[in-house]
Amino acid sequence: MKQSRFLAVFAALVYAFLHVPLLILCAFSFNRSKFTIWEGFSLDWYRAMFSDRQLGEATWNSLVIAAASTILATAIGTLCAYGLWKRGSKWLSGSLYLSLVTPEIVTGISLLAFFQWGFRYLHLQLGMHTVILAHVAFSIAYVLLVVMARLRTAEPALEEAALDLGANEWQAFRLVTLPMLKPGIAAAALLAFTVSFDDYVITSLVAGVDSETLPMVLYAMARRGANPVVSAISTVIFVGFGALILLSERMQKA
Amino acid sequence: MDVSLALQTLTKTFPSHRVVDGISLDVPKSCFYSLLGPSGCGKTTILRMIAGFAEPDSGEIVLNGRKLNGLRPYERPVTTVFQNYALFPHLTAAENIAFGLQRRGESAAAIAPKVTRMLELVGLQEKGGRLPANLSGGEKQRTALARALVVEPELLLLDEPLSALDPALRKRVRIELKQLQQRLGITFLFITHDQEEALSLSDRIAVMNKGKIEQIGTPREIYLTPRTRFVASFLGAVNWVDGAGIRPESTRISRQAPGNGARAVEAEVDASTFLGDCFHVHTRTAKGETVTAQIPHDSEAFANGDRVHVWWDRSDELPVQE
Amino acid sequence: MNRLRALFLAPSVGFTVILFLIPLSIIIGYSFQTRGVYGGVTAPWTLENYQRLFDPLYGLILWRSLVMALLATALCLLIAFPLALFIARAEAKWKSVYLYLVILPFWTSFLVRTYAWMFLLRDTGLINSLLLSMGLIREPLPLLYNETAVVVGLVYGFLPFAVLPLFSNLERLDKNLLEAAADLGATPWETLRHVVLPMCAPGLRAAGVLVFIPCLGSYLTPDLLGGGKSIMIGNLIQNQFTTARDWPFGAAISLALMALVMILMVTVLRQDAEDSL
Repeated sequence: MKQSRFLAVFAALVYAFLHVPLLILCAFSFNRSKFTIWEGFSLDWYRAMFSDRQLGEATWNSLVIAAASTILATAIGTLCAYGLWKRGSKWLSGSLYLSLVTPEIVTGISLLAFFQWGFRYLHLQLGMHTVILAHVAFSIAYVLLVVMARLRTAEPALEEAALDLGANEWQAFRLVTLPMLKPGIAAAALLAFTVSFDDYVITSLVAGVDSETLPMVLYAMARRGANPVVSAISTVIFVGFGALILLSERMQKA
Repeated sequence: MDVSLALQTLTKTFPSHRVVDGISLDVPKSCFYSLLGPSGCGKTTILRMIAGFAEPDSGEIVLNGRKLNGLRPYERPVTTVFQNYALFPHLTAAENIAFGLQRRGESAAAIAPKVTRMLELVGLQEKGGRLPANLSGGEKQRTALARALVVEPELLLLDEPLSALDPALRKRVRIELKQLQQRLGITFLFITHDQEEALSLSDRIAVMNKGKIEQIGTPREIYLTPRTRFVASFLGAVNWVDGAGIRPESTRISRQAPGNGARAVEAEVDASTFLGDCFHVHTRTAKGETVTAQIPHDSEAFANGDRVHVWWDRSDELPVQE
Repeated sequence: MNRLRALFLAPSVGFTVILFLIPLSIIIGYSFQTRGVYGGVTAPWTLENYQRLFDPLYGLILWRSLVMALLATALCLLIAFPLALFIARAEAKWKSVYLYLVILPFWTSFLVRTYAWMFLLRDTGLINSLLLSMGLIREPLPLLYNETAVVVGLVYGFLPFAVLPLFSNLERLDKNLLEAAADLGATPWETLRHVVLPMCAPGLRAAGVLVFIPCLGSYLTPDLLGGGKSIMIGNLIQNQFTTARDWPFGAAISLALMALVMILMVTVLRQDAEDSL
């Protein structure tokens, strides 16, 4: 279909709006000075970033939390999607979709209240485990969304054929449906990982003293004022996530 | 007659209506048996109940003396060729065929020669390593067939397996299918809405309508001596004229009245259609009945408005009872 | 089969009940209680927290949040629709590239993207530096820490949420309809107005709700870009649970927000929900 010139220009402007701020940030992360006037190329801020111990620990925490919650949420969410695909459950899918649209701040404070309430009786503390539990809880719905979308394109006749040929229900799932879901599961896992890694609001409320995450450190630095190290971190995150998304798109095509 | 499959007063009701209404029939061993009927007549539901994907509300399904009711699909010695083949997309043709054998716990060494033999039987020797996405419609259908047959089922169900093929291919596959069944001797239960398919393939046909069986018989019996109006019309064109039913190929047409004592009616020509191997001359009687006569392609032509006589042999009248 | 299905659903049922529904119920309970001396909640059950929602001080914040969210949503839709149109009309091989370019910034850390705007807008930020160095202004413009900055940040953050449903709606439009309209004498503009737009109503509704809800409940954007003067509902809630230590009131606000969100979901998306999700 022929494109109108107006639309093409408009689209270009929108893409500029979307990408220029980030690109500028990335560019200035290589600036020698910490002011917003270009004074020459430098990797100083990256060096500062790599030598920051607190940053290192926070990044490690974020990776551990993201990995754990991704594995759990993907497994639980996939099984849930399959179960609901076989026969729906209004209250379960309704609750999960509700958890998707619930504002993060509300999810966060409700989990905080829950953990405090539970700790009175169980003598536990806020820590990595509470963060992981919280992340799994809100990630399941994302996984469900992606895997369900994939399941909707599946032919129910395929599982019937498997049963017809002698496979029982578990084998039909494992040998026929699961292999076909692999790209969807991978994409869901990637989504769960990025959502977990990037979370600030919920994490900040339920994290303990020893479980600071990268977003929490970033937030504190951002609040304190102009800091080129934040630009450096941002660039690394941008490139890293960008590559992950490319990977995800490739997998979805499979 | 050695009965393989017996359905006894099978009933299935959906909220809106009774889909299968007290169906009883016997399928003899090694028979190519067809369930013929329009969509919605219940034939697919019967198939699914035999395969185990649905349970009847009442009635029994007995296969070689064994009651199948309540058994899961993988517990029944019945396999199905699905309408859209349902081939596992992530497995090659050979792996698809091997699937059922693997589920029975057979060793790889035992499976391989069986798969090879099956591929040869359906003419897919070179194509075993291909994924379904790289197979043509006809090849997919043959793979689905091979997959269902390799486990040596006591009964093979075929759910309109030819409907997804294009017409030219369909005729060729029909012949191969019939030959395959005769060679293997496995009992086939074939469902279709295409009367030509049913007539050319079957040893016996059960014609269904609205959940009930209208008539069971051989193809000749059903076509030449239909017992109800529905069966007569479903199996081919019928002229209902003067209280009798006549097939167009038995209907003669001439300008003068035939003198030989045959039943004749006066009519006026409405249209003539040339079909290549014959003419169909459409006429209308004084009572408003439409009568179509089939005449050889080299007959004299009739023009619209011509007054003619349509006539037939009494022995050609369909013995419809209702 | 049912046993297998029950097994498969058990973990998600567990998480949903224990880590979502129960916490939510606790909050509902808190909203009717009174704030304790050292924070937390105590005995007297009361409706006072909900009554306070109508207090003009808080009413202003709630009202401002609604207005900013609506504004951001309207802007998002206005920008997203032509963009979605552009992508839908593109050649097949470019479509996924264009979509990727829309999704890419969205999936990169939300914090990072919000910080990018701080970098641009602050007094020592790029825009002010440029304008100062070019002599166009003598003092830095207060671009950051106001409502405009928040709206810009919201639009920037949630634009992809609007583009994707609109794009999928447009993609699914039967191209034959457009040809039929042209065949009957409609100009491209008329086709757009009378055929395309009406058929995009579900997509527009979905996009609108998908943007409005997170905007309304957003926390980070007003926190980082709005400074103290333009806080929204999300910040108010967070405040109650941290510095102000008024959990019951925070709970009441949360529930009011949830109620609004749920009403929106049910009324606007009832029919569309099934096919889009």
